[in-house]
Amino acid sequence: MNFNYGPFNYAGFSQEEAQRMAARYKRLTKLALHDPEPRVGQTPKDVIWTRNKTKLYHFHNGHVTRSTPLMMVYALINRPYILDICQGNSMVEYLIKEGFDVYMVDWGTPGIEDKGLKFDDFVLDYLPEAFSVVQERSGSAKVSLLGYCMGGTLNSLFAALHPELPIANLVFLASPIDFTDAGLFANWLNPETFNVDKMVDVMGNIPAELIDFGNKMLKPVSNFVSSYVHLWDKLHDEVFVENWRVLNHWVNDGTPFPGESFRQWIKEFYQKSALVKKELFLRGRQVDLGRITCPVLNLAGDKDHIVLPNQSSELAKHIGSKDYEFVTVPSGHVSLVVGKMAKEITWPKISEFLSKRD
Amino acid sequence: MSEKEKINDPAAFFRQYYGEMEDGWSKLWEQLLSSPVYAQAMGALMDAYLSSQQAVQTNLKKYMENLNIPTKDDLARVAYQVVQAEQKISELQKEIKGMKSLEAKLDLVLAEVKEAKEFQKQYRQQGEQKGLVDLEKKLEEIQALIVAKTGAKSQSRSSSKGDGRGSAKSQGQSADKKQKAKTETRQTVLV
Repeated sequence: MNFNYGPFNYAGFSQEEAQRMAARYKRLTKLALHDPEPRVGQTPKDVIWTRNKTKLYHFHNGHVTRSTPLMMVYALINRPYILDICQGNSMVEYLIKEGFDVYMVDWGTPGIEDKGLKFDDFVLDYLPEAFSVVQERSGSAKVSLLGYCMGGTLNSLFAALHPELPIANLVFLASPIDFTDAGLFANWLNPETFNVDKMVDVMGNIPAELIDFGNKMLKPVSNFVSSYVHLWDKLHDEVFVENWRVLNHWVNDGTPFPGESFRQWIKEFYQKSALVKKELFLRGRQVDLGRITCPVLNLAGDKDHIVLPNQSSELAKHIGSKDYEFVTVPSGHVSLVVGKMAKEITWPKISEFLSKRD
Repeated sequence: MSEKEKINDPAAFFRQYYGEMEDGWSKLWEQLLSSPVYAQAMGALMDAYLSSQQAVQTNLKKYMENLNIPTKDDLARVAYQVVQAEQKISELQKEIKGMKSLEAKLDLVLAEVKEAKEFQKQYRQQGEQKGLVDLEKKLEEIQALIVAKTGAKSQSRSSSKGDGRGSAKSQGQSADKKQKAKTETRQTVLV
């Protein structure tokens, strides 16, 4: 074959090389112009409780074999469907197949009217109500909690402030607890240079794009360039392209951070490390992690640059649980819950831990 | 990727260039991002942006107020009230649900009480009937005993007199007394 058109000189290419290149450009065009939005969060579920924008999902499971239901709590930013991203790559789907009765809290998208919502509200009003709904629906007094990222931090506050509730187990996934060494964030969120009060006062809720930009700037070359370069390299691999699309969709599908919660998150957690110093108060109630006594499983990704592994591992020093397990997974922040490492290590570990204590 | 592809495909050229530069860029960015200078610069940039936004917001708010157009804050206030109202409705629903369940429980208790009363009534009736029968029997036994005793006494009296001269009047009076005593005993027992 002889192709000599314009600036491209494919004269010396083999037919196979030329076909592969053509397929790559064709796929790229299709990806950019024709592909519909990927379908995410496809595991069938019911909304069983709502409060303001928050929803509680109950995933369908016709063969529940575990007696203790599992309630998943996600962060106040981004969407919880990362835990149920797509068929075959979903933690929820896996746990359902393992016989668990799975529930999930979705905080929804806060509006301008929600800028005053604080951690106090989520921990002392929303979560207890969701917990009791899970108890009622499942018919089980005991409920296990799983928190990913900030969801784990929220769970730790909830468990510490409600020692009277029958929390069966706590599972933490890449959850920041100790903020004394928070990597680049510690530098950027320094109170001398970062005026969080002015930001919240002017913006109200913090836009999702700003949060996303901050997270991406932790690894700017990887996030802004390498991601697309890898896509280019593997455009011929349909499975890779599909996974890239769903993850890219999730990364760019953020939610605003409620203003007052953001103020607390930066001031109390990042700037003061108040949680581990026992200086955090929610509605005047001191948060003492020592009151957490239930079995705890703590998983962290060793390449996580958003929540450094040491931010999670420090949990052991502050809780009162005797039954505690910490597992480091060779993964990043997101690959801890989706992808190869999640399938091989994270999901089976969670199932095993909960099953042993069921 | 073949050598020819690298040379001829423009994308491949950039890919090769990026591959060689990636590590260097990453290190450079890392140094920059972890420096206090970057934090200060970003802080100053953000501060300037927020100041400009604040000025725009203040002016826009005044402008909107002059035009009698609701501002973002006004809408937020209304939406907040809607959220609060929704929450109150939800709480009321919960209370109504609780009351309904309480009502259902009360109905169950009432049904139980009614059943217990019915049972008690039936038991009492049966008990009374049985008691009366027993009393009747006892009474008859008492009567029989009384009759037997009084009969034996009168016989011994008449036999001790021997002549049978006891007047008919006195005999009649004695029989009346017996009959009266018997009736009184029976009445007492019945009462």
